[in-house]
Amino acid sequence: MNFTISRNDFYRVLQKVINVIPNKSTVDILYSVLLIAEEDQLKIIATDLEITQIAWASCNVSEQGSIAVPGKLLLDIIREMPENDLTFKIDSNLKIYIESTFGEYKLSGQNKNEFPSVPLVETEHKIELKNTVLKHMIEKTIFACSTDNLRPALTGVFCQIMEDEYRMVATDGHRLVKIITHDFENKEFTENIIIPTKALNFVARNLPAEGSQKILISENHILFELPNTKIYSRLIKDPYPDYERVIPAQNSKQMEINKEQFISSVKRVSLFSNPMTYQVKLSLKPNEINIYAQDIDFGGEANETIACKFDSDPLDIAYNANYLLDILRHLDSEEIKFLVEDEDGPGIIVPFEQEEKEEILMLIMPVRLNS
Amino acid sequence: MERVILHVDMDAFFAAVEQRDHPEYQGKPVIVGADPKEGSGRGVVSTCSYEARVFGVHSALPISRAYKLCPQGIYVPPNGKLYAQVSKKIFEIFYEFTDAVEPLSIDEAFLDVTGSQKLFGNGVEMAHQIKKRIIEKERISASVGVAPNKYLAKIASDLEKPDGLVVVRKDKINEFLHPLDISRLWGAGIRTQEVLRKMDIHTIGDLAAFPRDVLSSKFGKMGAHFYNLAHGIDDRPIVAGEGVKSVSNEHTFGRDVNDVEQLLQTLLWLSEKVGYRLRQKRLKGKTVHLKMRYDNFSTITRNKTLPERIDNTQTLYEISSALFNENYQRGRKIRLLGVGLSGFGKMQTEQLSLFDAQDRKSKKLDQIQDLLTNRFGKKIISRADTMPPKKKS
Repeated sequence: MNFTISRNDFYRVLQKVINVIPNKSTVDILYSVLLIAEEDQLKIIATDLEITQIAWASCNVSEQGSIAVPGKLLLDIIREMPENDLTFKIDSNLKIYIESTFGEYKLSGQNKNEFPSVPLVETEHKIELKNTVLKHMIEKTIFACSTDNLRPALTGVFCQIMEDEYRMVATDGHRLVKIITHDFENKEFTENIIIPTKALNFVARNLPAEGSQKILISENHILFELPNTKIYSRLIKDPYPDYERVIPAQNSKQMEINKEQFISSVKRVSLFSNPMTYQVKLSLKPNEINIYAQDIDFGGEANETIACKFDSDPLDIAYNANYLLDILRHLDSEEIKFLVEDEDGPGIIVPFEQEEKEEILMLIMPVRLNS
Repeated sequence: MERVILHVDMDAFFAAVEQRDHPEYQGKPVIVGADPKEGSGRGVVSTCSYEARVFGVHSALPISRAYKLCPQGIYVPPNGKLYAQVSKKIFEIFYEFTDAVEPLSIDEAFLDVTGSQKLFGNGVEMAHQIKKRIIEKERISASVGVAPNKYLAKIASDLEKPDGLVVVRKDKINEFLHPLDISRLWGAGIRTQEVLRKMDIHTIGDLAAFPRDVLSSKFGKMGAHFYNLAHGIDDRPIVAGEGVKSVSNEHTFGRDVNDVEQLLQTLLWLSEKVGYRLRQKRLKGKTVHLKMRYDNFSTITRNKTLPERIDNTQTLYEISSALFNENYQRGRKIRLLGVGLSGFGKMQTEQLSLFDAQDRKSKKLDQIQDLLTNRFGKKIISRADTMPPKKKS
């Protein structure tokens, strides 16, 4: 293997894939990236066995070849290199020689055969989504995913590909987000898949602002074809709970409130809540809402009242302030609607007016005061 | 004010109850535990009378070993219901003297009697009275340790069993503590004891000669703890009322099992038992424990802490079976399974879950099952998937 590439191009490509490298793994080779030089192109591959990312840049290849190199070390080296061309060579003992204008550096690699192979995604199932739409939907959902591996399905985002809508749903059992775009068409097939959160994080990070993206879905994998990079991810195959069933069709009591006011009030009051439960109590009244928190252990207490419109008899509901704030922060509109039925049923939070071609719904479960 | 702590420990409790109710057992080796089946039995000794201890029989000894050591013993299956009744009456006696009673198990408790001395006399006098009351009321004996703290009281009660009464006075702590072997050091397991012995520390007195920082650097956090114990310092308060730290049930199979379905059924059955006990005690816990013992006696325990406290059978089963699936080495034979829950606490709030619809159903099921069990006994009802392990024939 022998190729020459500009330091900046190399650094950019390596940076794209570097975060796929796991922080902790029992499989040593995963700490490495695979460099492939072929046909005037350098490809760099990183994988944690769940997610594989490939990125590439053009370069001058005088001899084709490939080798696995410790990824974080390589990144540290390249970061310190001058902004000039770098030449990479390997010898038969898997030593890598890097030449810059300053000098020569040598480090050890591993045989390319040690490196896990890239998954094959053979499929007819392709969809296309606008970058803006996809990024928006990812940002609105992944915060609500579970981090608990005991229910693997909930650690990913549930995606429903329908004929003229595309849905993403995330829940950890305490809150739920459902977002639908109608800016979508796909007459070929319908499918439900669960994409791991980590993969969606990488996708969001690599999505350009403009254009649209092709997504390929096979039985066990999904492939995002992005400019100069491809992200493969294994799909989560556990059954997703029947989320529609837990979203109440009609919550009869509706509160309308200014989101920013609500957020800053809950934030202030929650500082006085019990640090184990973060419980805040909302007392809804026709023209105002009272937000109250108390920490019996440390004697703290806070109480605020802000304006709202509520169309029913007074009602007290308690929530975990963190869950509530998470949801409010992920809504874009200035005014929101909060729909409830009783003090231990789910609360639905939606923007006062939905964006064009979009429907978003968030749901939060209350905290019950034990008697 | 100097605290006065009593540790009351019943002597060979289960065996003593059996001997009381069966005069013909008196003076004879009584062994409460699994059926020895003439030496081929499985399971362990639960408690044995002092007469049996002479033969080398002790608690937790495999019943087959016990049978070899003492074939002439009287082997009795445990009668949990009876022991619980007797225990309740004994605890009522404790509460005559103080509210600050911390139960450690069915047959022992710590009592903080500091504030009761004006009414009942000093600690030693109260210890005598408690022992006398138990004998009068229940006709069985207890050993009591009287000391300024829990650690010393617990050691003291054990020193002159049975029917003992040992007092540790504040000015005699070192005299009492220093000659004791380091196996009496609370929190020091076999490994730590090995390390200590290598450092030529054999008695608590040897340990007390080491400065605090040396012990801290050698044993980390435990170092400071050992230092305190070696000097008889223990500030832990009596945790009155629900002193229960965990609730668990175990089952030893009549024959080792590697059939996953049967193992899972047993987990469900154990989850039902644990769930029932939790709900009876009105306890909810955060940490689910699974215990598996393979046929070669290698034992693994795994636990999972949940975001909220639970007491329902379904969740206990879901978590314990998930732990099982993650950790069980397929094909290997299992001798014992256990399910438990710990991490109890004051229930202030309960975060509700979206998928509680199922939970709500399972709560209802638990309630109905508990109701029937309370009315008709434990055998009346169980889930269809459970397989109450067949009684060994």
